[in-house]
Amino acid sequence: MTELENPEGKPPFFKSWKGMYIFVLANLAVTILFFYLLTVCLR
Amino acid sequence: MSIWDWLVLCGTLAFIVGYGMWKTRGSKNIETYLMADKSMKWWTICLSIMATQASAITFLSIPGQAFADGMGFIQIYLGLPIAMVIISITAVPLYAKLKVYTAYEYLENRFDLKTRSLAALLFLVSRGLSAGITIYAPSIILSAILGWNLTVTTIVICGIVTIYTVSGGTKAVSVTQQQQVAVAMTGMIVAGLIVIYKLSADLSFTESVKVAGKMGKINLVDFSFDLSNRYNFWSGIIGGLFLSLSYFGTDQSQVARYISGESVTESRLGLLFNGLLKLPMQFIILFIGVMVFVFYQYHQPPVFFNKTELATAYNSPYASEIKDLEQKNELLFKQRKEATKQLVESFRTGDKGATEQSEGRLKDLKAQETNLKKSVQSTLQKANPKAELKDTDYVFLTFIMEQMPVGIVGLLIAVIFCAAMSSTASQLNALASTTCIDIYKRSLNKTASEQHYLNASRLFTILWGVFLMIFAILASQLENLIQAVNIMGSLFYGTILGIFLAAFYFNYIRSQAVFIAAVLAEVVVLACHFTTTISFLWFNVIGCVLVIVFGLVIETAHRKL
Repeated sequence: MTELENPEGKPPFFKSWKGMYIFVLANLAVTILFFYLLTVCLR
Repeated sequence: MSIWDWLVLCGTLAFIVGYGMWKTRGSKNIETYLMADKSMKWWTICLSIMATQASAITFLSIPGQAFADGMGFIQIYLGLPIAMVIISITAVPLYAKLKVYTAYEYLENRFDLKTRSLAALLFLVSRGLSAGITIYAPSIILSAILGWNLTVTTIVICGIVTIYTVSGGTKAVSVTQQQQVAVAMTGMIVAGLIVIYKLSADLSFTESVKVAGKMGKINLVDFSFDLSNRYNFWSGIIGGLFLSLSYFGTDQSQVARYISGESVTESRLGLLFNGLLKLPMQFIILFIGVMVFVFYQYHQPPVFFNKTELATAYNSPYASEIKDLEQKNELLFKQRKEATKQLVESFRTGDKGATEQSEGRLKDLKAQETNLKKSVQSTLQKANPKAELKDTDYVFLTFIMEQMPVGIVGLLIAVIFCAAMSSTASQLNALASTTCIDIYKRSLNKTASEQHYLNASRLFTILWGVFLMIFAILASQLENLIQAVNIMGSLFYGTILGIFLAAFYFNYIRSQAVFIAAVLAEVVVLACHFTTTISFLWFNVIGCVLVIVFGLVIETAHRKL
């Protein structure tokens, strides 16, 4: 957890690593939702 | 293949290898050779990670898998982005802080030498054997389709990889992988566009997708919970998470990719962008397979896609039986084409009753097709008891050879070679570095010079290259062993991950407890494999959890006694 509090450098477009991690996980959630909609709508 | 295809194939491979060797010439010390001077940018790391994971089988088998069973396979990667976040938080800063050459060095720092050596040896055995299969599997398919000698194909792939890996080490592997991923993705996108273009004579893109959906091929997510079902949401998100944590966090072939990053930031970004790009990449590859499926609803497919097995049957007393089955296949195709046309017509008119009727008709025909396939397999087996009865790996390559224009065939064969070489190069590089750093330098020769260890790393790369080549050539004689090797990775990954997670998060567990816990957990995982029908993805979870639980119990007992 130390690295989260005191990260080495910053990711592009985000103020902190926490923001970047949330972006990756949110992207996964949206992708799963997209897959679910495709599966249901095209069934 | 035409002369143009040969030119594209040879030109692409020569450029990638030549550029990689030129760009990384003259490694003067072991840090340059094994860690690329810690100079890699995040995009190189990301592409290198993707190229390491995507072997030739990814580009050959996955479209075939989608052709046969739809897109459900994608669920195996659902846990990957979560694993990328966890590894970025935990493993990346730790490996960077300790300046390790291999992941297993960290285990000695946290536990002891025997735990480090155990993990390194487990890696060398399982990865050494599976790397041989990484070369053998595409070699046998390329040889069957192109009519090349299997041994020559294997030697060409393995020889080229060994030459540039020995020459430039980790940097050469990463630099060549950038071009290899670019060629692979360009080739696959071109193939996808050509399939869609060829389909446009009969139906629009939207109609193609709708047909695939109605025929059960767009089955991206399945929320039903079933331990024996390999591809569902739960096995993908939980089992896939543990598999990805093991593979990216503890397997040296992947760890070597991101510890060569210029900084923690570059390493993390490489991993996180892999987490963002992996699912779209797999989606594209699977979608191409589904479009090939729709294509074969309008164009006559062969009765069996592996033509070598068909030729064997034609030269046997069962030739007439196969001819009869081919005629039935032609008849079935005509009926299927007609039913598909009616389905598309019902989309255009918006007649839901007609849509349901066509769907029912297509389901009946699918059942007949399944029975026909079984008859074909039975006849092929009578003609050749050792016949390979699964033909899905041959679907996409057959499509390439028969339907793609001149030049593109060469490009797509180059895609398969590139994928075979990129994943093999990472594995070869990791095997050599683990042998040199964790075994040779740590236990056998501790006081030699930097130059000596650099030369030793090069020698181990050559020796592993020769081993992989021999194993791949002999693999055709060892069919049962191949199946065992394919499963073996999953049987060991959970235990190795458990050791690493105990090291990262459980300071309470000490070396003796983790060692005994790892041995016990491995015994339980093997027992589960041989006595239950649990899908292999779950072994990653079981092995890992057991190491932690046993470790806590043994440590507590040890402290109290």
